[in-house]
Amino acid sequence: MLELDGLTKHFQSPDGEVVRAVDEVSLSVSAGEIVALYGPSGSGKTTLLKLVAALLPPDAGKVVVNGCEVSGLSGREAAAFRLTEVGLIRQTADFVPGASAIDNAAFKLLGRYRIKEARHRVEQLMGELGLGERLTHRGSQLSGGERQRVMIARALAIDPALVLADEPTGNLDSRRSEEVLRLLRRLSHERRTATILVTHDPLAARYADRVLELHDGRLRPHISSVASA
Amino acid sequence: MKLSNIASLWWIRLCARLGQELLALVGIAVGVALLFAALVANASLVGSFQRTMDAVIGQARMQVTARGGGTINEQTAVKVRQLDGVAAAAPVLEMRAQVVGPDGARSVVMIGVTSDYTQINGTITRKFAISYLVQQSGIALPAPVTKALGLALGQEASLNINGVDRRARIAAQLSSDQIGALVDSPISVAPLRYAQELSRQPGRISRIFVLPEEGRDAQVADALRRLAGAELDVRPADFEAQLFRQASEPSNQSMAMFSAFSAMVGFLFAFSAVLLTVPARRLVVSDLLLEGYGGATAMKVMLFDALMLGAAASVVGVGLGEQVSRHVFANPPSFLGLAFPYGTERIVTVSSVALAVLGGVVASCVAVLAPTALAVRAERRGEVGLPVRRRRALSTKLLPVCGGIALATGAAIAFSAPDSVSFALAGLVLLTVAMLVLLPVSVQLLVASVDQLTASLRSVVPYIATTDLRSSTARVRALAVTATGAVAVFGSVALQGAHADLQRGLDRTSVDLSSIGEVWAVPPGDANLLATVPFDAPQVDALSGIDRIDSYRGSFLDIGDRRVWVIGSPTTARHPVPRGQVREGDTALVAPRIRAGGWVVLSTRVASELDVGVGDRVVLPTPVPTSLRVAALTTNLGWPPGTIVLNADDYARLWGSEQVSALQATLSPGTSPEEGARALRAALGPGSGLDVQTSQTRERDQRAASREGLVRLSQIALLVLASAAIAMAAAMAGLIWQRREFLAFVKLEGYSTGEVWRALVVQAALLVGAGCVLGACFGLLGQQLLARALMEVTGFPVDYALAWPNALITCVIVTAVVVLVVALFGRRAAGVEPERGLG
Ligand SMILES: Nc1ncnc2c1ncn2[C@@H]1O[C@H](COP(=O)(O)OP(=O)(O)OP(=O)(O)O)[C@@H](O)[C@H]1O
Ligand SMILES: [Mg+2]
Repeated sequence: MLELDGLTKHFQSPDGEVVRAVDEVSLSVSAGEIVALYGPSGSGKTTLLKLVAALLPPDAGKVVVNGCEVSGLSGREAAAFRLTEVGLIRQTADFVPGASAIDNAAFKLLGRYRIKEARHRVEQLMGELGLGERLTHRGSQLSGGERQRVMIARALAIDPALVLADEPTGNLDSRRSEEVLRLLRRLSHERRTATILVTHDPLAARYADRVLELHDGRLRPHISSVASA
Repeated sequence: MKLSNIASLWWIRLCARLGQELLALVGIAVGVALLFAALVANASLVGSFQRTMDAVIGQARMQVTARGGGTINEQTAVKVRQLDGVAAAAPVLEMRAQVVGPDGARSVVMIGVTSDYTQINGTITRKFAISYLVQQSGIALPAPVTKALGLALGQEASLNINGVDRRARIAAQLSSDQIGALVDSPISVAPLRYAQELSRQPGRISRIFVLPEEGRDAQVADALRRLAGAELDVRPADFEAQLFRQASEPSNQSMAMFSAFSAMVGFLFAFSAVLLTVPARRLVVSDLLLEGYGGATAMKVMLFDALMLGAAASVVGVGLGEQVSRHVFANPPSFLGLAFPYGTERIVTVSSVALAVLGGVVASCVAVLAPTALAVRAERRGEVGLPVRRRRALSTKLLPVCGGIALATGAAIAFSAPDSVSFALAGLVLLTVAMLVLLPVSVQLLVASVDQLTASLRSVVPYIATTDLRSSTARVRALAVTATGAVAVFGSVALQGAHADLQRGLDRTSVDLSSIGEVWAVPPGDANLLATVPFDAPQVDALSGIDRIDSYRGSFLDIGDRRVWVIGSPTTARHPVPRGQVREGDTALVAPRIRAGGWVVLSTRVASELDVGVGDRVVLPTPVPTSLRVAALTTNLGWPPGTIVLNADDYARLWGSEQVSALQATLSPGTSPEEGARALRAALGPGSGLDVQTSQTRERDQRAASREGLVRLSQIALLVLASAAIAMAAAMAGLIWQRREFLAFVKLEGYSTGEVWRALVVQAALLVGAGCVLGACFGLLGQQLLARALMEVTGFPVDYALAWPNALITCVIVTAVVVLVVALFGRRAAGVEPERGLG
């Protein structure tokens, strides 16, 4: 499903030093698998996600999704790839301003379907996520957890091959976090999506199939999970 | 917080958001520029005439003139000088002259003076040796005039005075060092003797300026009045200025109206520009409040912001307005110049600058502080939810109702065609209010219908394009852009429509006036557009193709503080009174009565000045006062102070002079006007000094002159539009720039740069287009009211017609310009890196 091979990205910091944000990372994630990725701040987690989502070109190595090399795509092709194959979940649930919950969830479908049809398509998923009563609410009328669930609905609405979540529970308390994590796990298992879950949340390890850690751009097994294993 | 800390906080924040603040600055500056340019144009018209007059009058406090614009014996000046209490008396002879040089011709007012003139010490003689000029046989002209005509010192110029061609030597070129601001005025100075000789009026003068000894004004005035008797008028020396003030009143009032309008549009520009910076300012305010600074400190910080922004924008705006007034408003309306020689000097008064700067600072303060105050209050209460929601419910129901009522009232006033200026203006204000109040509802309807129309599209573009209008925070900013467009187009459409109405009315008057005669012979020069210069009629024998040659007599007559235009049509004229201009009186009887004699037609304002109506008897203040009956009341025929029409024979009786101011030929059937003109030209001979014109040529010239008088109206309309386009483009650009983060999210989700760009363009087209269409619809209603108000203010004839083609073009052009700017700018904004969305 997802293959990372020797993926490398270096940045030039303002004082001229080279930052090895991602350093020869190789990883393979299969369909329906959730990989939790821990790592201290600045260790390169977000950069890795950007490389996978074809938002940044790698300095070396490649990203292959379903046999297709993503790292070499042009800007337009990369956009199409994200629109149809990648579900992104961010730490802050940024709503389309003024749009209702259901419109936010259907947002990625608007390019392909008429708006009514797009809404219809996400309705069931919203129900599964416990948002059935919240369809026409706006961002300011939803709780943080509800908003994050809307973002999950948006990411999964397209039936993505890949879900990339960057600290999806960063703004939530532990009860809401568990709720979100449980949903994420169930849906990616059911829908057979490969998921990379970047997180600081110790709870996340419990909902992941595999736990890894990024340190100075290099991938290694997570210490605590190794210890617990 | 200390002032220095407030200042450094301001500086830090300014550096962080320089782009946004610059856009806000542009918005305010454009408004200030509009206001300033209008104020300067206003002050210049009256101011430059006043300066010209002051320069001519000097210290004289009284003047003696002949009634009805004729001349008096120069011996009168000797008698005046001998009166007890008279310190100085300077006789002058003024005449219209057309100066012709190798490079062109120019109409000037020639002033013949004696060395007595130095005693009243006017600017025209203060710094230049008049005693030298008086010994010369030649004329002095301002250097810019000689330069424009291609004349050099000592060279001979051709002059046409009262229909006679003469030659005169240029004895002096007057520089601005010598005559100051007067160099820009169309004047010429000559020794009295020489002027009398040139105009063939030996021993005659037109005016005596009198300087009484200190404290003896009343006594001198009495003595002068006794001396003057019935033929002479004794008046204050600055009487001309009074006349001019009256004559220019309409154009001043309309300019004042436009200044007020520009100020309003400018304020909206400022407001919509500053709204862009509100979110950032709110953040600072809530930070300050959160950290424990009081609301007063927050307000102080914001006030500092507003003052700096307002001051900077005002400086830029005044500079911009200066350029506009220099290059766009360079030439003042010239129609009045036919009776009043004035300069084209631009006068920038302290009050113009102060008013414009004040406007800018106030606009900035209101626009910055009003939202801040709201934020502080909401933050203080800590209860944003309930009251806001209730207020919104109120506003969604109540506001449209209020708007509807205002619209209905405004429209009712428009359709009732009110006679009162204030009523019409009230209607205009109502319409503006209605438009602004109904704007949010209209935009909501627009969004709903866009949703309907695009429901079958498989595209994210319309959805993104309307997001700003869905979100309550962004909507205010988006609506401000729409409101700016609406107000600008409203004003511009109303202005241009009213302008066209007035223009059509004046054009028709030009046709009517010129068709009094088929072929005209008049002294050359602009001054004769109104045929007011008297000359001795040459003998013309019978001609083939011409049935008859008649005398036309006209001039200006000062009634009260009005310089009224007198039209003395030949007794044989088919249409002695311009058709279609009669407002009161029996239309069928007017022409026969005027032809028969003993009747006069007055414009309504002149009639009310003389306190007479149709059928009443009236004695005009002419050299030979005679009683006439009023046959009808008319419009002012485009001459703001008013008009009088009588027949040329009555004119000769009333003025006691057989001189004419035009010859009019009536053509035999089958003769074309051109043939008639050729025949008359041949009959007059090459040395006649008269211009022969067909009524078509005169009509064209008159049309052009009246057009010039109104050109300011369309200039302002265009300027408002242009600045609105700039302001809207700037506001849209700011709006888009603030949304880059959102655009990055959209792209992060996988939508392409092209889709985002198209959404931005569609959004701009929707916002601006909606504003323009709304403004145009209201503007067409406003046109009705504005034309009414202008008609009442100016007394001009008005020919009303709905200006919808113009409204349509205005909408299309403004929308196109803004969309184009957004399309170019949006390319950059849409190119935002999607990875920014992931932090
Ligand atoms: N565009 C860039 N230019 C230069 N350096 C960058 C750039 N983007 C990221 N970096 C650097 O690369 C390193 C990795 O950044 P990254 O955002 O991937 O960290 P992270 O693991 O997501 O951290 P956190 O947990 O705090 O979100 C950091 O040291 C960061 O400063
Ligand atoms: Mg990160």
